[in-house]
Amino acid sequence: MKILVMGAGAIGAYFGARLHQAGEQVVFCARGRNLQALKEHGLELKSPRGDFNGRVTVTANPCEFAPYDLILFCVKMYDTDAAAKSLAGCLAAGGAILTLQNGVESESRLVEHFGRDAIMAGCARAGVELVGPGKVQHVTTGVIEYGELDGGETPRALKIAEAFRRAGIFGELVSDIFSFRWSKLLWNSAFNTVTTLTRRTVGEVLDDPDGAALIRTLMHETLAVAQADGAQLGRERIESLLEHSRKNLRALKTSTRQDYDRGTRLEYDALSGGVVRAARRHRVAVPAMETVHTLLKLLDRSVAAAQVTSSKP
Amino acid sequence: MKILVMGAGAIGAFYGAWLQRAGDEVYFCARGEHLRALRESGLEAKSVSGDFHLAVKASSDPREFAPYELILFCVKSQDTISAARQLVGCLAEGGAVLTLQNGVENEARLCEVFPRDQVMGGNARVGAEITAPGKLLHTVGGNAEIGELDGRKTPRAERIAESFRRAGVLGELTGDLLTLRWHKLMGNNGTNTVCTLGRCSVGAAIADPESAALVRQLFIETVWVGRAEGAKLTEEEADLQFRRMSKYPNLNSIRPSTLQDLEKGKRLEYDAITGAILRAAKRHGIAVPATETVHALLKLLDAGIAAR
Repeated sequence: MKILVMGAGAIGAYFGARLHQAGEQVVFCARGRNLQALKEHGLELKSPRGDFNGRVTVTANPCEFAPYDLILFCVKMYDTDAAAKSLAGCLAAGGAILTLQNGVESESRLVEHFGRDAIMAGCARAGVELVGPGKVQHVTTGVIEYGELDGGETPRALKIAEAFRRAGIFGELVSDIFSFRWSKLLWNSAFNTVTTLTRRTVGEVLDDPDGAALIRTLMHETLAVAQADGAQLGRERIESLLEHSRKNLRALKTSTRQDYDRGTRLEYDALSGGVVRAARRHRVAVPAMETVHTLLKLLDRSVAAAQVTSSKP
Repeated sequence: MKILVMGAGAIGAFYGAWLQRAGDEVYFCARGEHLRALRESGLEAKSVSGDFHLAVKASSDPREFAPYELILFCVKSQDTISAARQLVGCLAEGGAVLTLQNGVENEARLCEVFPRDQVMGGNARVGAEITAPGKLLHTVGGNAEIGELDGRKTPRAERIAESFRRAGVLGELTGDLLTLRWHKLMGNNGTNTVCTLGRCSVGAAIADPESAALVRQLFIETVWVGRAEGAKLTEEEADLQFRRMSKYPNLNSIRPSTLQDLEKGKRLEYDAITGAILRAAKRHGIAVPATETVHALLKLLDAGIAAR
């Protein structure tokens, strides 16, 4: 299968590398220093499941190697529209754009650009970090749950399942990707936000009784919104996510925290913003989420302003 | 009057300098680099009311020049007890320890170390910052509201008020310290928290409608709890204070003390603010969700600083 990884950040680079290793024809679309490093030195992946270090096909222009059977759409949410525009005409007939972006809003944004038939949605669950240009550190997990927006088992969905299986991505084709997306957001909108505002790890937040209580409050707020939005999720999901976090994710550095440490824009709006917007639509009160969302908005602006200051000669 | 400034941070340095310039005999207790700079080069002040340089008497040991008629107690709240213990025996007969610290709990903590009639309280209503050892930046305000714990206008309170008046920094000598302390705490709960977590100035925090709403919500929650504690505060007063604050000059350069702590990598003085409100809220069974959220976030942020 010919695959474009649109956005070779941590998630895109990790899954792209695994598919490349399994023999798929993978093209990485990247920018700036990441693009340059991938071109000159290839991709360097360090992982408990085996390292990869090698040449890959990389471009700044996705049209260069088009058309593609599958586009893994992995850019930050705030780059969605620009990235989507650059993909015009890049999809092969019958191909799919599979969004692995955070939040629950990217599907409908992409549908506006490509039409509903072209779009699939997924949840990438992987503890990965872009530790430098062209360098990815994989810590834990490496799963993609994905599906058609209408839940069908289409031929293309099954073909993707086959490719993922060969690549050792323990993905699952699901009939209710919408609920999975909300489930992931249930975690991200609590942990990405709090770990970024406090610069603490998942484990450190949970070890503090006030921190754990705040996480729980945020999760209950998001759950109420998810249910109002039609997701099939119950309270037991919160407990299982918390237990999983305590056991397996203690040292995880969330992607938004990585944004903060790198001094780049914070991808918070897809998370807390996504919850707050859906909450307003359904008239659900989410006071704690509103508070962290507002604080992240201020912090993001401060980070951006500091970038401008420090880049002055 | 012979005065010790205990803790020559932004607040202590500001009031000490202003009182000394108006003729009082002032000693500064400081530590480390800041102490060295004060001793060797004096205090270099940049102020909205005019820059100046001041030679000062500074020491790391408050006993060196004791006894004092007035001790301006200006250390961070987390250092209250240890600093108070260093001051035992430093007060002249009839003198007072006047806390200008943030929060509403420091008077009671000082009363654990000093007899109650030696403790007074007050609000430092000033925007200031130690920008480098020995360097004070004064951005806004300056008036202090001070009073006896029991509200009486004692001769010493009048004398202290007179000194502050002469220095041009007297807000009022109050008979209702409780209300004024909660009034200031309201401002701290709104701005110290939001500006620290958002790493931004007061101006930036209230320029955005959503964060302005958060600041206001934190004001209002403080009013609910303060009122239950006996402070004469209303939601109207909270809104009035919010409007007053929005009209401060150079809002974009006002950085609350807790944000200054963060940027300097120092421990955060959050517990005297959000912690105090949560403890009182719990006593009265009042829900303060926004305060609870920012408290948890600041506590975690501070734990990271402590671990470094």
